[in-house]
Amino acid sequence: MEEREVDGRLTEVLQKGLGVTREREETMWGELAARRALEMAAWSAFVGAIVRMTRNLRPAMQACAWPGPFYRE
Amino acid sequence: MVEFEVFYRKQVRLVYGLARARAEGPEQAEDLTQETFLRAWRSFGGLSGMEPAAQRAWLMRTVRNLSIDAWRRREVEVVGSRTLEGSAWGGSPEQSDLHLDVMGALAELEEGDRELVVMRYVEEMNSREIGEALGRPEGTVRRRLARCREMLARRLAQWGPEEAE
Repeated sequence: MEEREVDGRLTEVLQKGLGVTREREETMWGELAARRALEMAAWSAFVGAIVRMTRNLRPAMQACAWPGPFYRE
Repeated sequence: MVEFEVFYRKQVRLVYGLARARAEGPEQAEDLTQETFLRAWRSFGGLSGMEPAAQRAWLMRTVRNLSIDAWRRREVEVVGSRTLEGSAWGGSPEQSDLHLDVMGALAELEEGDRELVVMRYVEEMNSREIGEALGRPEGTVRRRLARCREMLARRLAQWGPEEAE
């Protein structure tokens, strides 16, 4: 058998044997995209929470402003 | 996202093939592949500016390191073990036999040669491209591939690939 034929046959056998299929690639892409979307959503939610907390905290901090440990009335 | 999807579709066979060639079952190989591409997505700003050969080298390094970490965590013996028998193949008995024969044949190769075989027969890269990706001379790649081809053809003869004349 010519080398090219051997290569062609090995390509087929190895891809089948390792389970490299279009279907698997599509499934993995779907799961990857979903996982990345979740990651981005979680990160956005986290950043949003920090921003809201900082925004809400500022008036509260100003309302009960502490002059400092060395302040004497 | 579109640009990353194009990148993914170009490289996924290589990454998945490498994960499988490292004796990972289909589920573990999928997990490794996903984790590799998730890291690639996070670093895509830098990765997208690299040459294709450098991108492949990055992916290969990442899947290799993740595979080593996974093995350390699981503390499972590598090849020819219950990992192969225990993995949920889910195909027909003939496909299962083919799968076991292919994994057995790959197990006989050195790790570096397994990567060569995946790049050549799964990703269908030529010797020049493989040499560029691995930073090795094309002649060296050709010689090693010829040796691997001979061994694989002998080992997998029942599935069709006879030795070259």
